This record gives sequence, structure tokens and C-alpha cells, in this order.
Amino acid sequence: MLGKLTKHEFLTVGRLAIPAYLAILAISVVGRFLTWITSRQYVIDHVAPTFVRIIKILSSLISTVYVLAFIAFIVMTVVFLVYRFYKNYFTDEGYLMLTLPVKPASLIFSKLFNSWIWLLFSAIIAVASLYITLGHYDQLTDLISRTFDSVKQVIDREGDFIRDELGVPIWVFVIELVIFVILLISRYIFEWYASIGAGTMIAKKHKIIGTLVAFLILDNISYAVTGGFVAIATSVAPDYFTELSQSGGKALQLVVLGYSGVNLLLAGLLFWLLTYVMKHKLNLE
Amino acid sequence: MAEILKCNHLKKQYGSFTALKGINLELPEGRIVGLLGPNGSGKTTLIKLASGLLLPTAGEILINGQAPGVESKKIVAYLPERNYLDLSKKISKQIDFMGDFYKDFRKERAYEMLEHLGIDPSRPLKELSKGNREKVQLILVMSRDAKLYLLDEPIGGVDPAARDYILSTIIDNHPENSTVLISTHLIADVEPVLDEFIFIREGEILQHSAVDEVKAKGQTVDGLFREVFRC
Repeated sequence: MLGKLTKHEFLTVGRLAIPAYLAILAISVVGRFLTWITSRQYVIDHVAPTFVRIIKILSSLISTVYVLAFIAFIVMTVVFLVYRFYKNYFTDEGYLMLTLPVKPASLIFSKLFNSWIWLLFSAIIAVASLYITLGHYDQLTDLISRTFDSVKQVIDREGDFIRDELGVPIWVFVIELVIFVILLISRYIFEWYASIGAGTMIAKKHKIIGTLVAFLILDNISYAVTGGFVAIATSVAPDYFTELSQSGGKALQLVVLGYSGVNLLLAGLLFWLLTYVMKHKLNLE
Repeated sequence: MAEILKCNHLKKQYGSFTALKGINLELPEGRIVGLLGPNGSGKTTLIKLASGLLLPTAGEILINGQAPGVESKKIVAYLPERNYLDLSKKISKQIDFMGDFYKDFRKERAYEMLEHLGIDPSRPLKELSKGNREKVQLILVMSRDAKLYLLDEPIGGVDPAARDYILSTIIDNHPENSTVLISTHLIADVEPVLDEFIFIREGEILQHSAVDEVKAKGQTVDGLFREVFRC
């Protein structure tokens, strides 16, 4: 059932997200075209100066629209994914979704998986859009391949040194970083989901305000828990941490692993809070 | 006859307000039951508890012998008072959705009923009138071969012609061994289709009887309701 829920959510979000993706790419293409055409010597020599000037004005207008659309695109992706959760489970649509023969955990995870997928797609579209807008494709492609080459060279040359510094092979550290990012994003998504659950429970008439207040509270608790762990760890073994701080690589690895562990714990607590609200304190009225 | 729904001392409180005051109730299979009472009597709360949307404060509610959960939701078809459909979806997509989650959902029956009403399944739900949206919602519920149908105010707020359509859809489409619980305060309209009725007031069941028993005394359920609930 989790697969079916994820599939239907993917299709629903796609129906709305794909036109937004196409729009941002179209603005990028138009902006790039106007910049290109006004920089051609042939156009400057053969077209009336007034016309070239108009195109340049249009080009700068498109650039402004692009920057605004780009910011809106990033913000709206996050807002939309959080809103989908609210609308599906905490408005009248909840009468359908919450009476489906599926476990609450499946309902929550289908939304989480979709958030991962669509955030990844949005990041890819954002990079593609920047790539189109900036132009200089040869230089950009060259820069990307040179970056990959230099990373590979560093790993080949300094592999042993990195392993000694981190205490693990570089590929293990890369996997740890990926897990770190996934857990961090998941914790934030659960923070929003739990805020929706808690906010609608405490503020029956002003659900949005309740959600925002709950988010501020839960976010501060999350920071306090993270800070608490750091304080406890450094006070229990101060010598170890002083020694560790002098070894950059191992300290970095400990931060990544430690922060991942804290995020996993927080995500678990937020998930528990959310399922509790959905099972015991549902407020669809 | 096996019970499809059973309540033992079922109590539900919202803060200091008690919506259900420890009711006991048994509904057998294969009956059409009217849950009748004025607004605020606890009808919707009982139906929400049976559908698994709410948990009891005390006592228990059992569907086919089990507490509401994933298994009970497989055999319960629930029509809430509210419009629960995602209006941006096409009707056909909503049918696919229901078909994916309920093994007992009969797509061909849904399309047949839509055709009968002259509603094009390729239309988005947002393009339909309020009345047609409600009918689509009813069609989605009655296209299932469920064991228990929970219909919360299915005829409230619609014109008399639509009421006739809704009631005939319910009667024509529910399997014989299934039980239909219809909550309403429009007694006269549902009376002809009921086998049993429950009078509920302020969270307490006042009477649960067979309609035939009332008829045998030369009374009507509507008349009895007016007598019992006289202000």
C-alpha cells in the first residue's frame, strides 16, 4: 500500500510541478536568447539601435522575472510539499485518506518519499535552469569535467592520507555525507509535518497560525536537544574532544555521524508525535 | 445473524463535552438501519468512531469483531457529510484511485452509474456542480461491495429529486448481506427503505427497533420521532 500511496502522490504532485518546471526552463531559454541576440555583432550593425535597446530592456526585465521566479520556485517547492501533507490529511480530504485501509506510517512515509523525490527534481531543474541562463556552455562543461578530474586526482594522490585523517575510506565518508543530508532533510520535513499535526490539535479554528507556532516551538526544541547532546558529550569526555578537535578529519567525521544520530533520534520523536496526533487527536472539523 | 457492528459502553468526550454517553448497540448483517436524531445528538461521532477516524474515550466499538483499523477499513465504505474529493483530479483518476486501494471496488459499476447520470468521467471534479460532486462521492462509495456502509447525512441539503436518486442508488447497489447505516434527521424520506431505526439524543440511544414493529402498531417512524423528540 505504501507503494500505491507514493505512486498516486507522485502523479498528483507531478501534474502541478511539471508545468512549473517547464515555465522556469522556458524563462531561462527566453532570457538566454535575448542576451545572446543583443550581443551579436551582426545584430548591432544591422538592426536599428532603438530596436536593440528595446530588446536589451526586455532582456533585463526577463532577468528580473527569472531571479524572482527562481526564488519563488525554490520556496514554493518546499511550501507546496508541506501543504500537500496538510491538505491531504488535515482538511476534508482527510475523510478519504484517513479511512483508506493503510497504516498511518504508510501515509506519512509516502509523503516523505515524495518530498525527497521532488526536492531532488527541483534541485536538478534549478541547476539546469542556471546552466541555460549563464550560457558559456563550453566553459561550464569544461569547468565541471575539470572539477571531477581534480577530485579524482586528489583521491588517487591523497587517498591514504584522507583515510588516515577520517579513519575510514573516502567512499564510506561520502555515503555518510549522503545519509547525513537525507536525515537532515527528513528531520526538517517531519518537523513541519508534526507542526501541522500539533498545530491543528491546539488551534482548532486557526490551523495555519497553530502550525507556525508549533513549528517555532518544535524547531527550538530540536536545537535545544542537539545543543544538549553536544554539552553532555563534551562534559563527559572533555579530554577526548580537546584531542579530537586537533585532528580535523576525525572531528569532522564525528560531527557528521553525531549530527546524523541526533537527526535520526529527532526524526523518530517527531514521527511518534505525528502518529500519536493522527491516531488520537485528529481534528477534521 | 452475525453482528457487523457492536458497541460496548462506548463513550466519546471532546474536552468537557460528552458526545456519546456509554452506548450499547448491536447491528446484524443484511439490514438497512436509520440512525435518527436531531443535530448534535452524536450521530456523526458514532459514525466517525466506526470508520476509525476517532478513538473511543472509554468502552469499545467492534466492526466484524475487530476494533477499527486497517482490516475494518477494508470492509467499511464511508460517506462523510463533507466533500472529501481532490477537486483538481478528473473523475476517472478518482475511480482509479479507489480501485487501487479497495479490492471490493467495482469500476464498471461506477462508470455505469456515471453514464446513467450523464456525467463525463474525463471531466475534472472542479467543473461539476455541488450536487453532482455529491453524487459522484456517493457513486464512489456505492461502487464498493462493502460489508458495512456508513452514510452520514447522505440526503441532507439536496432537493427531493436528488434524494430519490440517492436512496435508490443505495438500495440498488448494496450487496444483500451488507448492512447500511444511514444517519439523517429527514425521517420521512428514509423511512420507506429502513429495516431498523435507532433514536439517538444527547449521546444516548433512546430506542432501537425494527420498522415493522412500529408499523404493526399502526404508527410511522416519522410520527414516533416527532412524539419522542417533541420540543
